[in-house]
Amino acid sequence: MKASSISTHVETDEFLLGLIRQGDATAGEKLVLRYHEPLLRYLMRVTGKLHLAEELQQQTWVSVLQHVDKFNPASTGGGFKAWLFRIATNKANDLWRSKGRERTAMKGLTHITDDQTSDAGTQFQATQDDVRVRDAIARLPEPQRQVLMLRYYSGLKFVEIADMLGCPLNTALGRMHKALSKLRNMLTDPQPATVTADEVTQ
Amino acid sequence: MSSLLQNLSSNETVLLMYLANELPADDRAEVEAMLNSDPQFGLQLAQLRQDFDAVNVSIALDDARSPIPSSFAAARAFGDHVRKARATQRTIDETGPARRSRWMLYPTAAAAMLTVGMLLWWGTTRDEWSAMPPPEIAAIPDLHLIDDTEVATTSLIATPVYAGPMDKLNDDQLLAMFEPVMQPAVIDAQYDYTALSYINETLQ
Repeated sequence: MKASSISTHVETDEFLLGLIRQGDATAGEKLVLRYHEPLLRYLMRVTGKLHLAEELQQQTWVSVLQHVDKFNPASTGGGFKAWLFRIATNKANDLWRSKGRERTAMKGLTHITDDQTSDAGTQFQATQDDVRVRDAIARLPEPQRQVLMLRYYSGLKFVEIADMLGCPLNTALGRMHKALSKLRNMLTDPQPATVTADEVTQ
Repeated sequence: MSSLLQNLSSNETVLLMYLANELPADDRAEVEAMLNSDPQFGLQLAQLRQDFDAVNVSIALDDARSPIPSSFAAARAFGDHVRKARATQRTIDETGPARRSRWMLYPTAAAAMLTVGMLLWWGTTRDEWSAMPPPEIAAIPDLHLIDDTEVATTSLIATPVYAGPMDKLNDDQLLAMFEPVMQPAVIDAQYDYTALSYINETLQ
């Protein structure tokens, strides 16, 4: 085989998006396969529920398709990946807000919390270590967990994460640092760390 | 100190950016110089790196033990969405232009109907306009209203006391008319009261 006949063509995200705009379903499937795991795991960490994560993931891709003509890689730092995670984060934030309203509405009526409710959709094979890590991450204030998970699953730069979340770079870095410190404490100390109201909004 | 380092608010943020390898070369060199000169700064970096690695390993292990649903179902679902969107677009492409052209007929037809209506209305009301003298003309004493035929064929005269066709006046009347004004306006009438209006204004 001649060296020149070997295809060196790399199908970038933007290239696949171009094909999707033309109605190429296969290109769409390739793009989903590329981001399925990091996106779903990110949403699972943020929502804490597999079925919610799957629903948000689906909504995210539908949103990608609906707005694919508006996507401009030149104006989006981090390219398609940043755009995709931004959409997913917005969907998660919407859910977070609606859950907050739900919780407020339910307050005083029931003591059953999400943590106490069994989640039939979750396919975790829960061991003690799994639960500890997962629980520690779940106990982080939402903004800190978001930065940590975005960094881990999207691999975006901190500058891009800050841009995505609409906060200063120092704020994003501060949240990351606090998240790391808290996780260290929670994983070494079995006592649940107390989260203050201030931290929830940081 | 370079601009990015100046903008970072604490040692922790500087070290995080350093660990993440997101500092420009100059900044990175500057941080390394600080690490060499300040042992405490080096300890902070070591702690942060340890935290970073521990969290990364914990998450990776947790993920490895936590299976997620196959990506194929999600990919196929998205592929179906793309196919549906393409089918919808095709339908719009095929039926859209015809629909658009039909829609274009409505404003065109409306404009045409409006124009015809305005022309008809103008044509039917034009005579009414002509039959009604403007207020300044109607206010002239002894105004003699004439019809279009007379206007078209008769010389008009207008003075402060009379405006009308000259042939309706006898000589005495004409002389009486001419006395108050040295230069009465006499013009050949056209079709409507514009002429009367003009001469009336001229005399005043």
